[in-house]
This record gives sequence, C-alpha cells and structure tokens, in this order.
Amino acid sequence: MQSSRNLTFVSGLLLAATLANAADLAGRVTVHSTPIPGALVTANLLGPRGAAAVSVVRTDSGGVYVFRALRAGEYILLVDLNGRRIYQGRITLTNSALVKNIALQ
Amino acid sequence: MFAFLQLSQLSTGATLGYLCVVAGFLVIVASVVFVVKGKAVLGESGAPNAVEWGKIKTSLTSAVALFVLGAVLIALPLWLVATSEEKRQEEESRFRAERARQPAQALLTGKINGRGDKDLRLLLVVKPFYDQNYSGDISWQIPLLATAKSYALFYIDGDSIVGQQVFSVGGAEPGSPDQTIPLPPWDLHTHSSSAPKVRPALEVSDAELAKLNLR
Repeated sequence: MQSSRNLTFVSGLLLAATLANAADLAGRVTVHSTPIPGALVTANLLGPRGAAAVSVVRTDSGGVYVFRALRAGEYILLVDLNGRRIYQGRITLTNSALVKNIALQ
Repeated sequence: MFAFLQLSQLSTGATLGYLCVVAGFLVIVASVVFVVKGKAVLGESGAPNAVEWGKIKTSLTSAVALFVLGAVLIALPLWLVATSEEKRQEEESRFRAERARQPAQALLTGKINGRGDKDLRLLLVVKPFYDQNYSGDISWQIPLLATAKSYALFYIDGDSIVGQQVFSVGGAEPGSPDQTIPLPPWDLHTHSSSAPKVRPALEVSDAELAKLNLR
C-alpha cells in the first residue's frame, strides 16, 4: 500500500517536471500581410545528432499554427507551402510560451 | 377515349402488343361463348361433332383451334417482351464487362485565361504525352495509367512554360471509378495563380540543414 502511494507520488512529480519543461509555440504565417492557410509547419528539436523530435502542424484558415507542450530546447522551424519550402529558421524555446510570426514577401 | 389517349402515348410495338392481347381475349371469349351458347349438332354416329349458333355452324375442332389462337395471341407479346428484356440485360452485362476492361479516367476541370485571350497550352507529362489548348473552362478527359499516381501539368504560353501543377489520383486500375481533379484558377491577365508568389526566407541555409540531417 505504502509502495503504491510512493509510486503515485513519484509519477506525479515526473509529470509535473515534464509539464514544467514544456511550452507552447505559436505564430502566424503571412505573405504580403495575407494569412496563409494550409502551410505545413515543422518544428525539429535539435539534439546532439540532428533532430531529436519532430512535430508537424498545418496553419489554420487564419494562417495560425500552434504547437502545444513542446520540450524546451533549440529548434529548426521549417514552413512548406504547396510542396515548396518558404521558410527555414532557428528558434530557442524556453519554458515559457513563444510567439514566432513568419512574415514573408 | 381514355384508353385511346393512353394508347397514343405508347410506342408502336407496345400498342400492337396491347391490341394483340385484347384480340386474343376476344377470340377466346368468342370461342367459349360459341361452345356454351351454341347448339350441338349430332353426327351420323350420334356423337356431337359440330356446334351451331344462329346461322353460324362450325366443328368442335375449329372452336378449339379458335381458343388456341386466342391463347397464342395473348402469349406472343408477353414472350416477345420477355425475350427483349433478356437481350437488354445481356447487352447491359456485356457493356459493363467492356467498361471494366477500359482504363480508369480522370476529368481535369478548372479555369484559365491567357494573355490577350489567347489559348494556353496544357501539357500533361506522362508517356505518351497528352496536350490540349484551353482558354476559359477546362474539361479534359484523360486516361489514367494504372501505375502512375502522380502527374505534372504544365501551362505553356507560346514557347514558354508559365506554370506547373502537380496532382495525384486515387485508384487507377482498370474498372476504377472516374475521378474529377479540380485545378486552381490560373489567370495570365493578372500574372497569377491562386498560389501566392512567395520569396522564401531561409535564415538557416540548406547546407546547415543537411549537416543536421534535415531537409
């Protein structure tokens, strides 16, 4: 009984620690100030040997993309539109939410 | 009058069929009435071998033959209808089998306008090449290749390629249903397609991405 309680406590601590290290990344993709829906946004978390984790979302009708609960770290952000790369950038995500708007010409 | 109006809306074959059935019924009724109402005339042996009704006198064999004739008149159109229906079904199944052997087709649809209202040439790169000239609405039926899932369509104005559209298709095996592929509008009056012209912003170089095993 005691060991079960300990396990639950440790699990809770681990979960809290994980959530504490997670942050949201969001932004809007625009071209000539026009929102671009349907663009493919890829966030690559950099590890010692390239991408350690990859998250992919599409921009909504307002050109907005949102990544939830990403791990803190350095990311390469890629945006593709109709199969064509339109943005390649580097961002650093800490434990707080980050807004990264991508305004293209 | 009503029956006549109804008959006038039918085809000649159907009208003849109905008349044939009606005639058959009348002949049967006549033969039955003749036998029932008629007076039997005895032959030399004493057996009845003829029927007499008023001034008409006929043998029993003729009355029976008349009955059979009526039955044939009724049965004939029904048999013809059944036969033609069978033939129609055979034709339909032959058509379906033929259709299943044909390659699946896709219909490309869209809207384009060339400079000075000139036609734009669309080039579809598959082997063999297909090409058509269009201005305004596009409606281009193309046979799909069973092994090709992706196609590239080139927009050619004169001798220059002014645009390209890549599209994918679903099942293209023979017998697959036809597909409609909507193409984005393309207007050379405004020098634009629906896809915005974007100057890529590459803050991280391709070489750096390659080092990170990213593409």
